[in-house]
Amino acid sequence: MKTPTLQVSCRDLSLERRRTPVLREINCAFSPGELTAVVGPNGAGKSSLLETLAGVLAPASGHIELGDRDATAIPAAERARLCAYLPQSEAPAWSLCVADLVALGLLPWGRAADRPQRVAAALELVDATHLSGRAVTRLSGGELRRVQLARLLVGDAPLLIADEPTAALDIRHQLQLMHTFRNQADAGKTVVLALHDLSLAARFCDRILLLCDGRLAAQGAPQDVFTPALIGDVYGVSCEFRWRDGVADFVPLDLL
Amino acid sequence: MQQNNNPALILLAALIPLALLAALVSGPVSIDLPAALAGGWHSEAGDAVILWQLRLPRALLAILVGGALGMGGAAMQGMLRNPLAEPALLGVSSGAALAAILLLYYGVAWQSGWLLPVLAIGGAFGAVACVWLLAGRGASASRLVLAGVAINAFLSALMALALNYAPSMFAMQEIVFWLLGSLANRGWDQLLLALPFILFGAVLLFCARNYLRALSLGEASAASLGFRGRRYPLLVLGGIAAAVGAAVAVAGTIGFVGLVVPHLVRPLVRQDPARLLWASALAGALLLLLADILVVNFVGAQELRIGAVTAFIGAPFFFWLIVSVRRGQAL
Amino acid sequence: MKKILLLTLLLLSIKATAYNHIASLNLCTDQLLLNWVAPEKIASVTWLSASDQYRKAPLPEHIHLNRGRAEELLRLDPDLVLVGQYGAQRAARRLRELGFNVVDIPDAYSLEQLSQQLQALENVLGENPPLEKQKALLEKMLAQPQRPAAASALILSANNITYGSGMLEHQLLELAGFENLAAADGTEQLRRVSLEEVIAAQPDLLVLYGGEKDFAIAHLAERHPVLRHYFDRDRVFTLPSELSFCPALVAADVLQQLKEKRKSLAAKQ
Repeated sequence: MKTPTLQVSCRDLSLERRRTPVLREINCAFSPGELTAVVGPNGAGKSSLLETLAGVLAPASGHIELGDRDATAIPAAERARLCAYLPQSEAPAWSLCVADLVALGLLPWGRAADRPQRVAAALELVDATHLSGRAVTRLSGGELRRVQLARLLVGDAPLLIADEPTAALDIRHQLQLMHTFRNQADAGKTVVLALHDLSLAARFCDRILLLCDGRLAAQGAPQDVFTPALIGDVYGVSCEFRWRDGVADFVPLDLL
Repeated sequence: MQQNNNPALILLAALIPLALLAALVSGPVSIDLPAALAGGWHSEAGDAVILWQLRLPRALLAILVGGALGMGGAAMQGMLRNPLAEPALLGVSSGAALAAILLLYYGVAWQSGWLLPVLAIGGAFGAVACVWLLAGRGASASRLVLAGVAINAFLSALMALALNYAPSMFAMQEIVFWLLGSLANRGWDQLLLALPFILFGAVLLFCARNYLRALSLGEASAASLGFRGRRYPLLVLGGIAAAVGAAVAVAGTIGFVGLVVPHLVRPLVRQDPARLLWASALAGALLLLLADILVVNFVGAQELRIGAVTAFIGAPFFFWLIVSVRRGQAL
Repeated sequence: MKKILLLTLLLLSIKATAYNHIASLNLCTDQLLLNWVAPEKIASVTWLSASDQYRKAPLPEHIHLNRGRAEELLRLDPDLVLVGQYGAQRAARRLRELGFNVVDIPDAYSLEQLSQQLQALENVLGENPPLEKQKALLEKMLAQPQRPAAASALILSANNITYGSGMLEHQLLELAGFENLAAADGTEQLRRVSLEEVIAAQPDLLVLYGGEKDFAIAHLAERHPVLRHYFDRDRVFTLPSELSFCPALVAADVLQQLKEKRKSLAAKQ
């Protein structure tokens, strides 16, 4: 499938939850072909930023632009075709079978004639073809995560957003999943992930957004953001980055 | 979600005409069915009148009310993402029942056949509106449940108060009978009154079917799939209020159908909350029709109340549900 | 002239009734007292008699409304307390223990019991012209020879209940020349009758019970379209609700009306 590309930008984006500001004046941009990691300590506003980008939450002020249009001007159904989102924890309410759960990702596109083929292709992308007929309640945590990832990929949204997709995955599947996202970005999609694993972020991502207390502490290429000074400031730990061929080994040392 | 024509569902649909036939031949009077059928709608012959004016509308009303309750239960469980939800949870049934009771005993006397059902439907909508307002804008499922429980408890208290201050023993008996539900003595007029509301409710729920599907992933995911804002929950609540409110308005409160039926048929539709709506409507219709056949054939000084029959079927099922949850099985 | 008549009537009743402060703990004896005894002699009736459902005229203000409790009557110090067979038994026993004059008036579910009831009442109240008149009417009714039934009838009361051969309503129908179809199949007391049984039985007269304005679901059957032709053709008779809770007041009138109904039905045919 040939997908259109989507340039996303946030201008002075602020968000409040229960009258407490959780995002303050975020200015950033996400480009097609780019894999962006949003990192930061717990409570920094990573999930809030992703939910606002995905249209789940409405910003208190500021704008999100999808392509050349203001996001608020785009009808919900059309926006859902532009942006696929996987929340941090998504527990299915019913014991759907895996194929049916993945097919839910096609809801914004209505009745698609090639639905079974698309579902099969998405399951293959995440190495879960063998799970197709299984009930989702009988999956392990990692299997469920991969199936949910297939749900994210099954449509052809140009913007993919996933909140900590690697949590609960073993290292093999973590790597496999990051490769999948890398491939999606290389295919021209705009991919935004919230990650805790700074090594994975440094290795696979093109750009890093470092959030702290709802503010954008830094953004840029991994080499520019992942410096002991910045990370030490934001996380309150001393650490070391060992760079080899553009791949960083992140070693946390001690509390500051 | 791919089209699979489940044989169990087809069987369910095929059983309804059979049960309808059984309902038409069962009753205290034995009638000559072929002759009565041949007699036609306008026939003055006793058998034909019994068939066309008494048994047929009653059986069709059982199908309609059972379908509405099953569908309402499926919608409620889908929307609240909770297998233990039923339409009564959001005060739909008690709102309708309270409006009916107040009308009957403390307000206007019964003047025309449609006043009570219309006000009962209004009561159902009023209760849902209260729940919606209490839960606040953009409310999550858990907040809706909380608000529903609160409103429901309040309405139940008001009904208990109405029982307490019933003007006479007869009035009290009436309230109790109303709360147990019955299809006795209902005719085409009640059927025609409930039908448009139930169809309207079904149309609203049909419009919300993909929302219910998306909701099986959770509210945030549903929002990201394009089901954002107040429109969709309102569609579901409106659909439930119209369908279940109309059912309660003509037949009184009949419990457990909305709770049990979606459970029974969920495996048949591969847990798809959207197709569950129609499968539950089918199964609810069948269940209530069978329960009414039991009621009709029951011999006793008082007619067996259909709400008591469904509760008899429902309560043991509930026990089983609790036990299976204890065993850690998936619901 | 009117005044004198009233005075003599008053004198008569004073002479007739030895008691001047009568209390009643039973809805039916309430009604009998209110109808047949001068109001100033009534000390108390039950609260039910003041409810819209049972009240025909406003009650005199001095009459205390009791809820069947002994302490309410203690204060009033009645010289006669009338109680029914059922209800307020605890209060009656307590009052008896305290030395009050408590008299049981039996309930009536048949014409025979009705005359016993009136006899019991007469024994207590002494001479009472309206009571005498009712009693005479009743005795005349009982003495009448049973005529062969000329038409059929079926009672359809609240909540689809019909009355069998052991009931007062059945006796009235028979005396008026109707065959009670519910009794024909062996029903002695009350029985549930569904609408389809009514249709299948095809009675000439459909007999309903009064009080329809209040209770909607119980009277749903009567409103069903299949019975409309009974109303259209004036083949419906509605029993007054008094017949169910205090037949002594209306039994004779009801019989007369039923007889007239039968004649008008016969004239139509």
